[in-house]
Amino acid sequence: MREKRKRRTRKEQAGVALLLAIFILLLVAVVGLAMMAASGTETSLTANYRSSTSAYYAALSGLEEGRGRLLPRNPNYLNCCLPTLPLGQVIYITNPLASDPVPSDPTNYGNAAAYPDTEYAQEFRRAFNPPSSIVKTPSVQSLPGFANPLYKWVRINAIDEEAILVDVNNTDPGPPDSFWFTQLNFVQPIYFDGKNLTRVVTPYQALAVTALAALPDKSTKLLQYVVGPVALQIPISAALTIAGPGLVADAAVFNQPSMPNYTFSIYGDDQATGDNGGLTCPAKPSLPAIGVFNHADYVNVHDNKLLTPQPGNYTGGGVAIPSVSPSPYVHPSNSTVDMTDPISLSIFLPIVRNAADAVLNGPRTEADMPSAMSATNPMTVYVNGDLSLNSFTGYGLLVVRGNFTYTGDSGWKGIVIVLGGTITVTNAPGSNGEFDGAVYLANLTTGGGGAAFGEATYNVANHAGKGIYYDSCWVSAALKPFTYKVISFREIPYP
Amino acid sequence: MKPRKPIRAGGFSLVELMTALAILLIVSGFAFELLTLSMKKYHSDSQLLNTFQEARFGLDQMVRDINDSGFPPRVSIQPGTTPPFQRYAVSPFAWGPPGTYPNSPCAIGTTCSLTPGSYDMIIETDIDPQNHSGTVEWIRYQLNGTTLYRGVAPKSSNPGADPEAITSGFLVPYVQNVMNNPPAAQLATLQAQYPAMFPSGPVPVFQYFCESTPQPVDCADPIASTDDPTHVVSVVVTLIVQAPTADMTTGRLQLVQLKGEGRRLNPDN
Repeated sequence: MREKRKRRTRKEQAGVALLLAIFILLLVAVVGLAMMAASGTETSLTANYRSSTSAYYAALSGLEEGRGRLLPRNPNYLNCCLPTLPLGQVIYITNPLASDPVPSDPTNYGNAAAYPDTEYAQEFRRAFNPPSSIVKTPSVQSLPGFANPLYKWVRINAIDEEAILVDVNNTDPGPPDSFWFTQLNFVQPIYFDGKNLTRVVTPYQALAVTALAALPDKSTKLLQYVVGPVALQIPISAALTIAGPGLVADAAVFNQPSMPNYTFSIYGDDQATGDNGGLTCPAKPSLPAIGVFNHADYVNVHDNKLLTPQPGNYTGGGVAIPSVSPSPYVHPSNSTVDMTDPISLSIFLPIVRNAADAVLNGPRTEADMPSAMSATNPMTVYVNGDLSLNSFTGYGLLVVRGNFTYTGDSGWKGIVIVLGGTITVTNAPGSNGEFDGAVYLANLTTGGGGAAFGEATYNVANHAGKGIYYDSCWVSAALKPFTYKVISFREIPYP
Repeated sequence: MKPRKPIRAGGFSLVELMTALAILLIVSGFAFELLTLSMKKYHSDSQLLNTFQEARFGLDQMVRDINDSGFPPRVSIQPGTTPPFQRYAVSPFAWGPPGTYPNSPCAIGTTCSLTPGSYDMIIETDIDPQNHSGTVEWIRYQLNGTTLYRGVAPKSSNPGADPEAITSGFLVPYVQNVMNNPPAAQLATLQAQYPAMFPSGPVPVFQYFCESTPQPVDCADPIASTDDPTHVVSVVVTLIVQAPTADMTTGRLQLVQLKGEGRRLNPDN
């Protein structure tokens, strides 16, 4: 009997081990769970940070795609915005992701999951909303086989004061501050004068580039650039400018044809509205036919060469015939280069080379000129050496580091800059070649190792085409923007 | 009747019990020691992580603010006009001493007072571009003792106003236990434990880099061609943050050092 009870008691106590084990397991599990929960919070904090940073840089890369594709030199040029993009016209670069549950679409305003461009309505509240025209272009893969960063769309549009909330022409009467918003203009597009934004019409318009990036985890960033085109500003002071060393014994030379009644002439009156090959634009003030920078060059070109036999072939600038600029040359402050300074020119050369559509090592001929060059597509050509053209007409900006020779029906519409010291036109009876725009000649090869100009000579044969006609339209067509400068940058809350 | 079986089969002797108890004590002693250790470790590590998180949050905000500095730049407004002072950023960074802002920029490292300095910076930017008030803000970061303060004040419309005096009223604690420039005694302790983090005494929070070719140089460097706040292109931010308690297992102070660079994207005026 006792024995039996005892056995039963032992059996009853046998479950304690299980209880103890469960208790300890629970304890350990609670500690473990607490740790997991805490590290989970850390992980999600880190993930948030990571995705917000990724979205920021994705949006930035969208901005850069937009800015890059504004340039005519870009193989994926948007071709939207030069010379101007009217307000209300919007260009979107879209970059939808195949795995998006709702395809992203900047104009799908009804569906927030499509990441619509609600920011546009914020910027244009009083006018141009909705946009009068919308163009959508797919994004270009920067690396074949690799998806682009996760930006959803990039918008490019013209801006007014209200869109960027900046009082560009400064009409703010001061406090109280509530008046300020009503002072903002929402009619006129904003331009860029090379340094500042302005409401005054200039050839270059400021644009807003806005990019939205969204990651699959829904973190978003909206960034905006205001950009303005930057072009080479080459000051033109005459139809033909010859920069000589300014020494009496060694001055600029212009050798005109020797035969009577020759046709070669140089006109400084702007041909903008005249016979110039198709371009029209508002005329600019007339310039002298030939420009020089110092008195010795003036005496050598004007007194020693042009007074006979046909001074009437050189007119313009309100200067007595033959027209050679007698007054001291004043260098305009907003230009990229000082054409009177050999050092400034040598600094300018790499800038042109970087901006050039074609860089050729000389000697070269017309066969080497880019085939895509045309009146509607003027190009910048940099020849590092000599160039000779035979019955060829080019368009744009031509910089020849060596000497330049041409013959037959050769001409150039735009700007020709020759820095080797000699331009030679060889005899070609019946030639009708014509230079519309401006020509500049200097010698950077000899004379003080770049610190001073060497002797520069323009040799014109008897049959040498029609000559040089100043044309401000071709001059400005030759100076295309080579970059879009970031004028301002900001982060905007979205949505 | 059969003889009874020995009791032995039904229980434990005292010796057995004592042995079992001793083993249990030793094992559970080890287990609890391990648990305490891991709790301590966990506590210390989670504090370190928190500190890291706080430092990163602070650093990130500073870098973003520096990226945005100088909006809207003076070039957004037509030349030849004098826009109201509070409508645009005169410079990406405002400066002291009083009376010099905005017309005579100081030289970083020499004539600037507190800002821009190693432990103090005032960023000028419009942080709420969609707000129609159109007023630029001053964002100030200041390390005072071991607390980094942040303050946002609307830019004064009075050109003669002193940015330092105006922003000082808006400062609130932002990151605690910042050890870039602690009191001397504390610095000595830290330096002894982390010699690599404090190579030569206090560590500047802000280092300014000015425009130069071919690359930006430290504004305080004599070779810098420009040394005023209007030409700062990037700021390197270094934050050293200490966890509130030392490591419970080793007794070592816990420090986190983070470094970031903010680059100004807005152009010069």
